[in-house]
Amino acid sequence: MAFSARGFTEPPLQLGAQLRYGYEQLWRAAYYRLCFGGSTRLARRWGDAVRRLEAELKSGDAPRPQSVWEAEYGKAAWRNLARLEELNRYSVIAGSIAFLKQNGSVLDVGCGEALLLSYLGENIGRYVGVDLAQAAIDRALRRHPAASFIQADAQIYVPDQCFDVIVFNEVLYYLVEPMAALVRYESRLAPGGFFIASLYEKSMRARAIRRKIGARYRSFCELRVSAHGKSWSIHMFGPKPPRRVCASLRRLLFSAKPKAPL
Amino acid sequence: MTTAALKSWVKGGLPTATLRALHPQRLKAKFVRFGYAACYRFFFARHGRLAAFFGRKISAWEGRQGRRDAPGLQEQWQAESAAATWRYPIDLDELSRYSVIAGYVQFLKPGAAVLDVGCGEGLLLQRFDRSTCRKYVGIDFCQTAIERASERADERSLFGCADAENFHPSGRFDVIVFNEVLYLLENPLAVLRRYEQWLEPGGVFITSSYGKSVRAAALRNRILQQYSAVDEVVVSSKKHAWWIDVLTSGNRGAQSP
Repeated sequence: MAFSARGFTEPPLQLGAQLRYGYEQLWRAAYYRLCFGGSTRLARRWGDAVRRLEAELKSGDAPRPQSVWEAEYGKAAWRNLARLEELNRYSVIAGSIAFLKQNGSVLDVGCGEALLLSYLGENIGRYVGVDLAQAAIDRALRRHPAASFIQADAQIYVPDQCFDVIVFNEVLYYLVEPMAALVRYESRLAPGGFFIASLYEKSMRARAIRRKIGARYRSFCELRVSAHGKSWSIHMFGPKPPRRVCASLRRLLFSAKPKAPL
Repeated sequence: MTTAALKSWVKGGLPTATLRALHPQRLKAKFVRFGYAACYRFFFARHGRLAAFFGRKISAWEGRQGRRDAPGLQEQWQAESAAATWRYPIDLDELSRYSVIAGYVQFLKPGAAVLDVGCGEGLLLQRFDRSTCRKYVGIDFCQTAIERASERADERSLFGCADAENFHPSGRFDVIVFNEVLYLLENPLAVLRRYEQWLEPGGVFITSSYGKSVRAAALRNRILQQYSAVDEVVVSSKKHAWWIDVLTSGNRGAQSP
């Protein structure tokens, strides 16, 4: 009997299948390293193939259909999110929101059972939770009857108001095009607002998204929380300030004092 | 070939980075750091003449170096606090440490009585909800910090200026927090043992220790040998890392003081 990523109960894979699995993972890693988020024909086709593979392997960090979510929340498979090991992540996110935006408005994308809301407590102005699964929303409503929740697909949902903080708590890697989604939600950030994203460290998809975020946004806090052999990175980031091309040019050409001698 | 020629030949031949790494001062610093870590690894908080000898040596060395993770800097701390260099941990990474501690209190002991040893300016209290704690007592040896903390005190909280090593609280607590404070004490394990008597049955210690300090790491190892950890977490940012542990003393805490 062997331990493996596929669980204890399944019989160990044959050598050929093991090799195939390793090859697939390598191929997947190569995609996320080289082509993820690209717009070339190669990137798109490779991305489609990787998505098909992930669906076939039932990867835990890839997009999955609504029916799966409904079924899992229906039988409370995500109950362990309320356990001690996930607590730190929630407290860090909630604490940062409470500190940076006292009485601010929060949009929790992929809220699940709205565990974050119980950590936020009374330090919060307006809270809206969005989740794909109706079963999750039902559970969230049972927890917090007064809060507002919306059943919607985060990839097409557009909120009608602006928010101070938009939270993607372990959710970005479930979106088919995470960066496009982020860009769309950017327009719903209030002035001075920011995103908080928590990403599981072991997932190569999550790491690729993190790299993309680092390139596209101005990240003002990056934390890592590790407990029970798992670790999550929590990023707080906002849109980059617009580049003042004219001002930079003027400074370059006409400033009295050069910055530093070469 | 003369010695000087040999030297110059070696110098000419080796890359600058290697030469820099082999510089006598570098080597000495490395040796000292290694010895320091080894002393902590093998002799910290242990009995015996050798351990006592090395303990004296190390604390003298730490005093000379003015290390910030060692005891004996009370005057410096007083001065710094008066000059308000420790006014607010605006750093978000510091803040996350406080959030995690507050989260533990809320999750494990909602409505707890909390003793915060080495509370500083009472920043932890600010992270607590109304529902999190029913009573909060904060002590610190620094008068200035306590004065500032008292400005924020409300009806459920109390701040006092006292030394952790001989403070005698009235009543028991569900949670005793040592937030970045244990490694600054002369005799941390004895202090922890002493505070057990003011822990309610089933109460917990929450300790935070700086991950990049050799002393804090050695101390944490010793603590984990003596107490069972309910939960432990590492919070890290680019600059810092902290271990936050929730400890129970088994049934030792239930004994009467």
